[in-house]
Amino acid sequence: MTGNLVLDLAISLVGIAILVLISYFLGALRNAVVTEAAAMERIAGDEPDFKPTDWLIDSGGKSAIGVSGEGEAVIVFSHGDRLASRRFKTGERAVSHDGALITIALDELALKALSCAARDETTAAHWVGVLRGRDVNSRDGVS
Amino acid sequence: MAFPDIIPLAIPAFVLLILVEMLAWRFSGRGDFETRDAAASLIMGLGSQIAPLFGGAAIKLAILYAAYEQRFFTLPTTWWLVVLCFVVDDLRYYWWHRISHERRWFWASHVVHHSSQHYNLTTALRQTWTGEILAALLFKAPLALLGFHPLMLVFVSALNLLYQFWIHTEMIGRMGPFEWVFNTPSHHRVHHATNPKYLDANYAGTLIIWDRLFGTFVPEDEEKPRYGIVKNIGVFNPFVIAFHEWIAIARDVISAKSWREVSGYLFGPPGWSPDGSRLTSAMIKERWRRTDREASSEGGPAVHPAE
Repeated sequence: MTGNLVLDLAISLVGIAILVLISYFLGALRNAVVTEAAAMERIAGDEPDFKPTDWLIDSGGKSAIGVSGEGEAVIVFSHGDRLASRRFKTGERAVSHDGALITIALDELALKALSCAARDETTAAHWVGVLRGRDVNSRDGVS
Repeated sequence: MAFPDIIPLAIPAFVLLILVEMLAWRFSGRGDFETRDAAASLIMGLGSQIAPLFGGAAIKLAILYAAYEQRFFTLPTTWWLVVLCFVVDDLRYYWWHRISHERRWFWASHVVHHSSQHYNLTTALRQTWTGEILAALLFKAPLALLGFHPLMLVFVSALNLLYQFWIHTEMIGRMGPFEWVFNTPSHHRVHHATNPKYLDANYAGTLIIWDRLFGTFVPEDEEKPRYGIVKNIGVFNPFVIAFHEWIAIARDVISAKSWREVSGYLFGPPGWSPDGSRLTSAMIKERWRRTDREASSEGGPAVHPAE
């Protein structure tokens, strides 16, 4: 390069900006939509022994919560055009809801919490109960 | 014999090839790019060139010169010795890379390179900002002790890194007999995959013979690689990418209840925990084998659809 650190840095940043812009104009800025099928596919890879019995799909398609009949849950979430997941035992994580929006605390450096929007407050309250460790089959009339 | 600093010289070629790969992706549909992921990788690459200037590069070179001063042999600086040095350093790279996957202290630096869920030429540039000094002390200093000049060691390592740039692509398929000896895109796709059957395989830098020799070679088959890490971090912030595992280690060590736990968190395999509640690669592979066996015996898929 030029031997001048500041100039080298500036040239590099401009180069990066140009590549990023080109990728943007080529259509590379994409967001994955979480559907039940997509969440199932992700879990099949990430957690092959996790057998979901029920799913809550975020109304905006940004995440999905799955529960198994064995006291475990997963949350699948979009990260750019890919999905990622976290698995936890029900009752293990702090879970709350504000209206229809469910929030699960992860306490990670990168991800403090993840959220999932149910279609209404009643559904959210039911799922919060499930994630806090209540029996998954006691649906309280929520479908 | 002069040893030029070849990485900065290669940067224009890196940029051009990334551009070609992006266009090829757009117009052929092969490979994949995501803008924020590519931006994070490129920033990590830039940071990896800047970070050593804060002292790491100088300390690393000082370690190599100190070892060279105590050398067992005085080797001539000839072209054939550069070739020999490249091969020996490639073997050094294999073991450094293997340990970087098998021991958490080293993984904390190397995880950066694996943190993308994409596999393209920008991923090659997603490099660590930490981890220069201990690697030099443990893995490179012995080569200086043998009599290889420090500048020659730096040069062949850069050559090795340069070789590894082009193998980070999905554009190139299988390469026939070339794959018997050399690391290729196919071999390295396996290395970046999180599919249990592909975990902890193909550590080679340039020569794949080391994996064949030490039993870590796994060929790419019809199962499509799923890139990233076992627990994908889920952010594009370069500072989080650079330091997340170091901070996770610190938190674990602070919570440790004994020296055994401290050493396990620091130097155990990534995913080690005192109660086995987290998963190491070995545990993931075992779970995969078990789930696969159960699926075979049930005659259906391993994961059941939602009711």
